[in-house]
Amino acid sequence: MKKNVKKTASEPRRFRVYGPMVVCGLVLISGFFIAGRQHFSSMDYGMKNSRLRKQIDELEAEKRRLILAREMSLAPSELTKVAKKVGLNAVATAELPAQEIVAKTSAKVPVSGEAKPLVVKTASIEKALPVTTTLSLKSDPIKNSVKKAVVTTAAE
Amino acid sequence: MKNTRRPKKRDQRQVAFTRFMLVVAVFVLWIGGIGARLVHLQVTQHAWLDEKALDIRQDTKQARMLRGTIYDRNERALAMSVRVKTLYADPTEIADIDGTAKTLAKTLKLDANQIAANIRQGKESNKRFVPIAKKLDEDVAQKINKVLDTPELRKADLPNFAGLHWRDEQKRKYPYESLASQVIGFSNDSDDGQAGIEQSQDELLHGAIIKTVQQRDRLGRVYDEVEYERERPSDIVLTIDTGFQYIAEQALARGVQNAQAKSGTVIVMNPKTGEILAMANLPTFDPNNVGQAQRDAIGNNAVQSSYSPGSVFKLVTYSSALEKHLFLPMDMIDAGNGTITVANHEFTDHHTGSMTYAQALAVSSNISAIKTGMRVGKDDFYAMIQKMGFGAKTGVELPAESGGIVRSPEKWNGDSLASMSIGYEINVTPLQMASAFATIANNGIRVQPHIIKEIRRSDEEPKSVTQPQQTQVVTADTVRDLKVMLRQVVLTGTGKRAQLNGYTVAGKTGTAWKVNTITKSVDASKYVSSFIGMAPANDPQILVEVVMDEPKVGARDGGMVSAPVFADVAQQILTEMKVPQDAPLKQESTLAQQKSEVPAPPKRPNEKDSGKDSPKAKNTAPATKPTKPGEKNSRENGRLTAALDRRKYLGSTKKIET
Repeated sequence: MKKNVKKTASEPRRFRVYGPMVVCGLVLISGFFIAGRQHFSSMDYGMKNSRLRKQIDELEAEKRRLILAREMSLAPSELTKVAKKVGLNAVATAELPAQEIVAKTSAKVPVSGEAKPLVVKTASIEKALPVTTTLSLKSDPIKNSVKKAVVTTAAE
Repeated sequence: MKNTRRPKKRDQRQVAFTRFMLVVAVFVLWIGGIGARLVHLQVTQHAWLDEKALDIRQDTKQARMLRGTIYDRNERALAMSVRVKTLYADPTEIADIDGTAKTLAKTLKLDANQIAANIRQGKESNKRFVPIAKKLDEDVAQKINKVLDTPELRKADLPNFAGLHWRDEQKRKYPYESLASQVIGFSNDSDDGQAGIEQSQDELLHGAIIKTVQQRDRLGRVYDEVEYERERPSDIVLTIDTGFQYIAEQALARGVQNAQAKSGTVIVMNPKTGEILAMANLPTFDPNNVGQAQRDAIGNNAVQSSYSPGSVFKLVTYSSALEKHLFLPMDMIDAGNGTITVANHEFTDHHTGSMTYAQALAVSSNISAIKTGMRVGKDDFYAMIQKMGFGAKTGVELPAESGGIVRSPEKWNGDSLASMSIGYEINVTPLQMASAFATIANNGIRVQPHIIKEIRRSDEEPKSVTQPQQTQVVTADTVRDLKVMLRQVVLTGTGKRAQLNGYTVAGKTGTAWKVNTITKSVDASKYVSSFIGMAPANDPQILVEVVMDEPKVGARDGGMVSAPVFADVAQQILTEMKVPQDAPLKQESTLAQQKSEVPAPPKRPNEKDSGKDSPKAKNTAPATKPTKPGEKNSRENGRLTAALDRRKYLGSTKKIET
């Protein structure tokens, strides 16, 4: 009888001891779990990041190759070859019909009385360009040429 | 007797404690053992283990940033670097050398024995880099990766083949091939500029080496990457316009071919800004294949070579005289019998009698120019030479620029002033001469010629924009008179073939005997023929200089050889620029008639022009008769004379507006 009394008296005390221990254990385990998850997650992000960097490099390289290909195809010597291939013949300057250029176009002529650049600057060093375009990459040389074409067309 | 003694009851708690302590002891020993081993490893084998761990986990890559791009003024890429790959073998990772060599030979169509020998040699000398195929394009590299793929092998990088790796490199490409090649230059395999802008701006264009540290997991996947970035190379934007450059090169090629000249140079400048719009040289080369280029084709004659300018230098003579108010364009000068002796040196000319200064320049009278130069005097003439920028580098951003040869007055001989008045005893570069004419075109303000428009980083922000120096060299009055005189050269003088359709032109022809460096005297068989002109004459938008070295066919003077090239270039460029015309458009027949006229043969500065020494004197008629004073050669000349007469009558000192 005495023993039973002693046992019932120790039950709440034991709970008071083991309860916090279990809680702490759970917190600790959760901490390890979260840390582990973050660790693997960061590794995963790192891998994704690395892949994206590689992709950027590849795309940059591809872009350069495309610009180069475009420049090569636009080279005057290449255009002459293509023109000859399609049956166009070179004409001497003297044979060209005289083109009358009146003074009213002088406002659009880059080189006038003042020291101005010959060609209207269309490179993206200008902060605000008057040409609206759907292309958004400011530094893209392809876009610059597109812009130039738009400006030229508008001027004509 | 039964042993009734009960065995001594063990203390349960004692037993439990003993067992527990036993477990603890084992555990402590185990942990202690591990600890001891760890301490042993950390203390004694730390470096080796650290290196091994890094080797497995960490990968350091070094790659050079792509060299900066060179653009023309319209953002056309003239020189650009692209990524290429070099396939190399690490012999330490290859067990079966012959098998590898055989596979590689089959894939790359190379000699298997040679590959095997190279790998074997690398293995013996403990090399880890044996190049197999250099600078392959990306698409070729991808094809090789597919062919060499070994499915059973687990390898972190490509190609998935034991002992083979790729190394990133770059290759310089020049998409416009030989266009402006002497201006752009070229760079070598080590990314060092060797000529042209590539050389002069090498420090800005050169790509720094970037180091990338990658952390890999056990499967070789990169999970962390740190890139040690360096300053990015700059891009260079030139003032050159590829369209104008092509026009200049094509016209020059035609001119050189027609005259069978040794070489030729064309410079197109914007006289107001000093921007060089085109700079063409022949012979030329393709910077993509420098190995096949001729040695003398690589240099840029426009800035690196100097020559005796001949009559084009009379611009300086007359400029200095006009600055001293010694004459007016319609004042008379007497060329006498076409002979003048200075310091026992007899200079001769076939232009005789009295003529106006404007006519003297138009027909390129040497006697008149010498007399004018003598009136100016040594010091003032030398001062004008210096002010015009001769004897010093122009400062254009091109390598190995020559400053020409100008001796100081103390070193002049008795006849030096006379010789220099007609463009001898002095050496100038084509660019210096163009710059002097540009000064006149720009109302006497000398703008430093330049070829770089701006320098910028890849982030598109301009790093610097060229701000050329501007200096007032001659007064506006002098410029006005000079323009009138230069206009006469094209209207009635030696430069008729430079006339344009719809535009007025002012310019000057020049034909100089070349100096034989061995005999140190002029070589009667070799000329440098040039023409420098500006158009439209009243408000010049462009200045074009054409220099032909050693023309061999036909009349070889500047008016015959170089002036037509000028007309070809200027006509196309002005039309392209949509410059408003300032002269009526002519019929084709009129133009053809003008071109059929033959200008005067060149004159030797220090020998009598009797027709014996001049190679063309026997079979070439003089271009134009020296115009008599007061004779109206053209509408413009008539207007000018009338205006001058009116001024004389009124006694005004104000210069004539024409």
